[in-house]
Amino acid sequence: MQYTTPERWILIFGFIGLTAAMAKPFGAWMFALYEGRATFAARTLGPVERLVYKAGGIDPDREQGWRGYAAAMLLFNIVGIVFLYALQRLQGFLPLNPQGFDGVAAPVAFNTAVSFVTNTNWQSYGGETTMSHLVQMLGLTVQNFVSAATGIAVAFALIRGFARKETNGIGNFWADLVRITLYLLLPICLVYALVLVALGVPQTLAGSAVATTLEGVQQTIALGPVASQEAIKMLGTNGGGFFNVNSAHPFENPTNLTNLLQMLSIFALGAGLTWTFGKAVGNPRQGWAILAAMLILFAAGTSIAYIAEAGGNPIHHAIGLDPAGGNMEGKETRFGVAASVLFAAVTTAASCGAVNAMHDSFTAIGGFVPMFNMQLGEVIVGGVGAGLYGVLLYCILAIFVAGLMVGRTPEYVGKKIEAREVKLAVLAIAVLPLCMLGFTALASVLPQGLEGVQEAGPHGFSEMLYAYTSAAANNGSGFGGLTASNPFWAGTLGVAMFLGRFFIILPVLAIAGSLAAKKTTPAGAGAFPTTGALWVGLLAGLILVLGGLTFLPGLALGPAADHLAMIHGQTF
Amino acid sequence: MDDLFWLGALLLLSAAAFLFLHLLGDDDERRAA
Repeated sequence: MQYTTPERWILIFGFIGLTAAMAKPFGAWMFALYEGRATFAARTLGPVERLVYKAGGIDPDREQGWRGYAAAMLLFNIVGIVFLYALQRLQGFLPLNPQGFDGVAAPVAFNTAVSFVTNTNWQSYGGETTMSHLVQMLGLTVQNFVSAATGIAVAFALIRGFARKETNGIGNFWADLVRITLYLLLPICLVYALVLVALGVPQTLAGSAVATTLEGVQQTIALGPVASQEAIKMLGTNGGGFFNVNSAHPFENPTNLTNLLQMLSIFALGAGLTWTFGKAVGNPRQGWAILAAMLILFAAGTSIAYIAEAGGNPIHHAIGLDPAGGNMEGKETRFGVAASVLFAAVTTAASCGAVNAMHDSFTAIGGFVPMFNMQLGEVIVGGVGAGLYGVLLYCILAIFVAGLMVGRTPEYVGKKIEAREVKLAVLAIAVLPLCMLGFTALASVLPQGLEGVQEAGPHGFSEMLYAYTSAAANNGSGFGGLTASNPFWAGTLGVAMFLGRFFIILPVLAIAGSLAAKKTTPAGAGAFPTTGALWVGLLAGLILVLGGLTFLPGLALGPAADHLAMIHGQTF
Repeated sequence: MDDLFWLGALLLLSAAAFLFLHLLGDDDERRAA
């Protein structure tokens, strides 16, 4: 607790309070979309929606079974990857390229295409020195919208599975995709981008500005359509920055106010979806219970990281740095320790991946928290849509465990949870550790993997583990120090992102189909209650224990060993 | 040549995803039967 201050604790816990306060308004907005009701945006954009359906030959009222829904989702996303890959490779021949960039290298184009389509937004390139404005706007920003909409659509489908009874239909993917994009993401982002412009974020099609510094040196300052990308980057939990240093750049995140707005917008839809879920299943307390479990885990992780970062690094203190300053390495002085730690916790809890500080420069324990947030499956609020369907997988497992304890068939929100749902949930949950640990093990023994790692010792291992954790969890934030643009890293990270996205979504949709076909049974007297403190504790505990047991050996080799070395003054 | 390799990798991943979907569906049908 040394060097923490009350006002910084107020920032952290005040932020948690604001997150809870956002859940109902955003949740109600999404509930209207979930039900297919007209929102205020439909009055303006209704003709666009109908035009899209007409152009695509889509009947929005035609219900799809889970396999139809999944096939449409897969097809849409795979076409998106091919289109984005081609756009990057051909950018040298295309307009809106004022800097005259050549085509992006093939491995980086593959990595980036998979990255943005899977809502990961891992960037193995510097945005302002690699991508033309056309690629940024038509490729990356468009995928920011539709990948977020895909996540929310899948969450809607799973909610329908819980809320509907004795039906095969779980909605229409195309209608969900179009409606979420037009009536939720676009209106918010339009207003949000204008607010960001007013607060100092650039929005221009000019390539760059040339300025003369006080020393008389000419400096080229990169510019571009930053605000429009910034808005969806946060709201859609995408995280891919216009600039290489992301939200640490003063043009992406100029002030403490924009910093707070960015953090809130990362959590807005994820928190809102828990309320949408509760409302859809007929009891908002079901949603509040899930959000409570999420926020308890978030508060615990953020507090640990804040204490570690405020305490600083004893190696720094030994050479005369003021310990009261905390660990400021890799942090913006504009934000300081607490706002950097909070941003890191938010961005990794929510599968966003935007950063306003360099996580590689955090202390071992400070860096462990963001990594562990992702390893828990991005279910602490989580990515838009992905957080809700991820935590519902844990709910299925938790109610199964509770059912074993009380000796009854497990029931959750009126649905009997049987062997098929539990098997599918385990299958989906197992994908992440398999990708994260499997690829890290591979990179640890192959020369192509080791050549990208900058640091020796346990910190170097943490860099590798963090990279695959971030990729498979579709987070996208990076532990600096790793050069991930060689074909091995670009390729394997791309594969991890693909598997971590679609090999989870497919079992989730299968669960949705299975649940929708079941009867709904009213909760009996002996059913395990899923709205009270006991359930919240069980759910949070299960998430923590499952994550802890799975990743303990890896974390012991990385952050734990790193921490022990640090307190003994050992450097590598 | 580079493009063939990376698009080929994407093709394999896509095929694996559709195969996974098919297998999950098969299980569904077996259960229904």
